[in-house]
Amino acid sequence: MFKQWIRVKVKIRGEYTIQVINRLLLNRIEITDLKQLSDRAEFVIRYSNLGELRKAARKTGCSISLSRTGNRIDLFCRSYLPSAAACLIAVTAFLYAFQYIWSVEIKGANPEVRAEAAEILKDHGIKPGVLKSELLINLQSTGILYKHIEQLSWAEFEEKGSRLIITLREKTVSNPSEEETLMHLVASKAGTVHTLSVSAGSPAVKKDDVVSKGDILVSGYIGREDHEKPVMAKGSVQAVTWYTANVSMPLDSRINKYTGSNYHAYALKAGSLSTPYLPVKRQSFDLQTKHRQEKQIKIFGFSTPFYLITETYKEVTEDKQKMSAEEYTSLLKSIAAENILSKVEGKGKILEEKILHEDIENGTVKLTIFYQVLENIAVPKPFIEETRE
Amino acid sequence: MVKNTWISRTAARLDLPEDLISDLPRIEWIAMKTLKIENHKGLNHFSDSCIELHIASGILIIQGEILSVSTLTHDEVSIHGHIHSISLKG
Repeated sequence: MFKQWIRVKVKIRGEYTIQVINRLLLNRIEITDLKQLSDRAEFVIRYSNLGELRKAARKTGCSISLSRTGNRIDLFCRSYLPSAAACLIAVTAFLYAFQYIWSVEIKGANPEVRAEAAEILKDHGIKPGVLKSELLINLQSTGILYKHIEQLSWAEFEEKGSRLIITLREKTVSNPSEEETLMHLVASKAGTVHTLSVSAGSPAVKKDDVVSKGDILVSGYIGREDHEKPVMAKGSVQAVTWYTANVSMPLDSRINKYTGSNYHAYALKAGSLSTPYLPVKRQSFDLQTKHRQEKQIKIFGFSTPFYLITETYKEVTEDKQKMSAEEYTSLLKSIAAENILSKVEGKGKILEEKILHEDIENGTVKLTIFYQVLENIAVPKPFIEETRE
Repeated sequence: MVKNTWISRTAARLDLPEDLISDLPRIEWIAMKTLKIENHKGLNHFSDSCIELHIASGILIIQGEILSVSTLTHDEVSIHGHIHSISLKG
């Protein structure tokens, strides 16, 4: 490697000096500082090229002598210093660029708060192009934001390379008044208490108690008499409730069945223009369904403006469906159960179901089913004059 | 004089500099003291008052005083000194 860097001064004497130089040039060897003195020529080549010089000078009768190039440090500086300096400047500039904040991103909150925060930060010198060391980071900056923006509940500053990411959160929920937070849990419907689970407040009912709508289940007052303290009652009261469902269904239901025979029709479309469907003469069914599909034509992965429209016609027949009494009953039961569960918002559990009445009237099956459901009947009710004891 | 006429015609059509696509020499003379010649074919004669270079269309003769070659590569030469004249021998 060092041979590439070391340079040698060559003194050449003889009749065919020019030929030697031309041979070196043909071998793509770089010659510098070529001078013609009275009896000799002088030039400088790299140390690694001395082998080529020996070959070039062969059979020319030239005599060659080598010497050091004058000031080696000077030569080194002359050839490598500019590029080394440029590299150093580039690296310094590159590293120095990391000391700056080049973009400020504000996330979260609503656009109004973001814009306000951006303006305040800009006024206080937090903007793209400032030195990181000059930046008022975290505590001071968040303090500025809290001071100026009342809606702000939380602000976070994060540095990611040359980016400054500010995450804001605005106050969304205002603190409810004391009166609103204090509440009882009352029954939303009538039922028999099954399980009681109270995390705050004092239970007003016990297991197997029958409660009606509006009864207090968990009281919002705790403590002994005369030392009662109002709290927000929390908990769940699972109770057995009762529902009656009426469902009906016609005896003869008609369904469409595919026969399996079908045919296709094709057309080309470009923009709003389309060709007639092919084949023009085609069979038709008494009852059929039509399905249309549009597909863009692509050639070697390139999309063309043409679309291929395929219409599929399928023959259908109408069929009467007959079911046995058991099948009807189970189908109607499942429909009724779904209805009941949708009433209790899917959180309840059906304990028991009983068919109260079954009737066939004018070709319609009618069913009345009784359900026992286990569900949470506790709903919060704030303290008002009526509930305050 | 350009021998490869079709190359010169193509270069003219495409609006390209001829020295880029043909072997013609390109000479830059800076402040009467520095001369840069590209696409030379080697040295013919060398002294401190006259330098002769082979080029595609003949021999280029540079005359002056205290002439020296600062850089010489297979296709580029840089000459320093008091240059008086440049002439072409076809």
